[in-house]
Amino acid sequence: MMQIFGVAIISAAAVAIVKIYRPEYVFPMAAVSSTALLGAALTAALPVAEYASTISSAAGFGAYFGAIMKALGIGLVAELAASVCRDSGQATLASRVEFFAKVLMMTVALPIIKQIIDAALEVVK
Amino acid sequence: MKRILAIAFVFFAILLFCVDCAAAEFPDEINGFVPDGAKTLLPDGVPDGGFSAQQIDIGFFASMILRAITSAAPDAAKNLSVMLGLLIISSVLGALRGGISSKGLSEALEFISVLCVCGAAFSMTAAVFDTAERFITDVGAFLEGFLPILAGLSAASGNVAFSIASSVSVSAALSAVSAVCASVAMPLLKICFCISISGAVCGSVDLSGISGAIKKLITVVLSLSGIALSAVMIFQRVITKSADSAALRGIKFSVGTLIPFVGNAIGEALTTVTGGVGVIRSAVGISGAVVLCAMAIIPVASLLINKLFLDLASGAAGMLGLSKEKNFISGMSGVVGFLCAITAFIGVFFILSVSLIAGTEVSV
Repeated sequence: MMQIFGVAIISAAAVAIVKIYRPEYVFPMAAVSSTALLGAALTAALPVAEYASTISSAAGFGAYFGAIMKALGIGLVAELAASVCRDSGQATLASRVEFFAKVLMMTVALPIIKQIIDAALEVVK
Repeated sequence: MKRILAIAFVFFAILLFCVDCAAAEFPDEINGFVPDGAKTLLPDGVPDGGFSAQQIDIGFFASMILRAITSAAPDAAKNLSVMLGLLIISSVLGALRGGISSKGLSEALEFISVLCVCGAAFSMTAAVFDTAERFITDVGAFLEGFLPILAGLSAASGNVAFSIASSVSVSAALSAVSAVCASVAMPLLKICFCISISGAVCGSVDLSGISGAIKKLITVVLSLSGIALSAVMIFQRVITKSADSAALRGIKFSVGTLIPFVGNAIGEALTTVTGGVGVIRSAVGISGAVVLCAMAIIPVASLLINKLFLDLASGAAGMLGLSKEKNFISGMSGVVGFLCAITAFIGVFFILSVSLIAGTEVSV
């Protein structure tokens, strides 16, 4: 935990120093730092996610849990990518990234939508 | 909920006052029409053979309700635990969603979260329609076999006109109630059920007005059907009872005057025989009412437990701050409540009808 906070503070300080002498390196450094921090956060959350996945599979809602976790993963990664794009001044690219993430989320939700429609048709039949 | 409780109260009150019978012989042919689930709730001797009035008391009904609840509770509790699990995950996701600054991504995540909770709840609760539909089918099959026997006994005990009129009207009522439930109430409730998920997923669209209108329509249709059918049966009873009484007195008088020496004795014997057959008719009728009660208790208990657990899940969703999920689960709970009311209405109506036929005495 402390290592992660340390890395974040050192990265911020490094970016601030680099910004004075070599501003062209600021964006790659910030991007790498952000990605590393997100990767660390996801790695830390992995045991919790695995445990929750085991419980949800045993309880019978594994498919729903999987969809929610995939959507969350897509959301977090897309948020990082969009932020990096915005930091580099590419707002259009950032909005395209978000749009693509939404499409991916819909793809993840598609089996559940299909399941609900099938259940509704079964009920109405 | 108050309406359901009132119906349930009337349902059991009627049964508690309709158990004055000594013994009953239930026709073997009818056994095949009694569902296995209902058979397990019946006391020894019902419907296979005789049972005593001592077996049918408050304790019997209490144990019947308890057994019905304990058999329905595990599945409903499993559904509740799954729903609570998903609600907790959804709530955690809601907290994580706060870390995403993009409004569009946050809304997409919320949509998937709501979709998952609604999908799970919808799939689990859809089975309650099968329960209600199976009950209507089972009651129809049972009454088709049971009514001719009860009508025959009623005719043999002197209620010739009433037995014909009542069996015809109960058969007509059975067809009418089955048709109203199968063609009007169930499809409307199913539409309501599907509307509730559309309302939850498409958050900006408020479909509660349509659901409310459908529920009001179902209430009006069922109330009118119930009032009309009950009124017909009660009027028939009043008119035919007098006709049967007059006819039996006429027969007794004719026998007494036309047959020399033993005419009066035969006339008295006629009274005794009709009275004896009347006792059998009452016992068989009450046995049938008890079977109908056992058949009705299973779906009513199952639906009530499902409704209770849905209300609990809705409360939990409210506590976790999931307003869309809360509204959806409340909507589903309302639909299940209506389904329960329909089931209880059918059960009470036919128990009353059978009790009316079984309890009609002709005065000679």
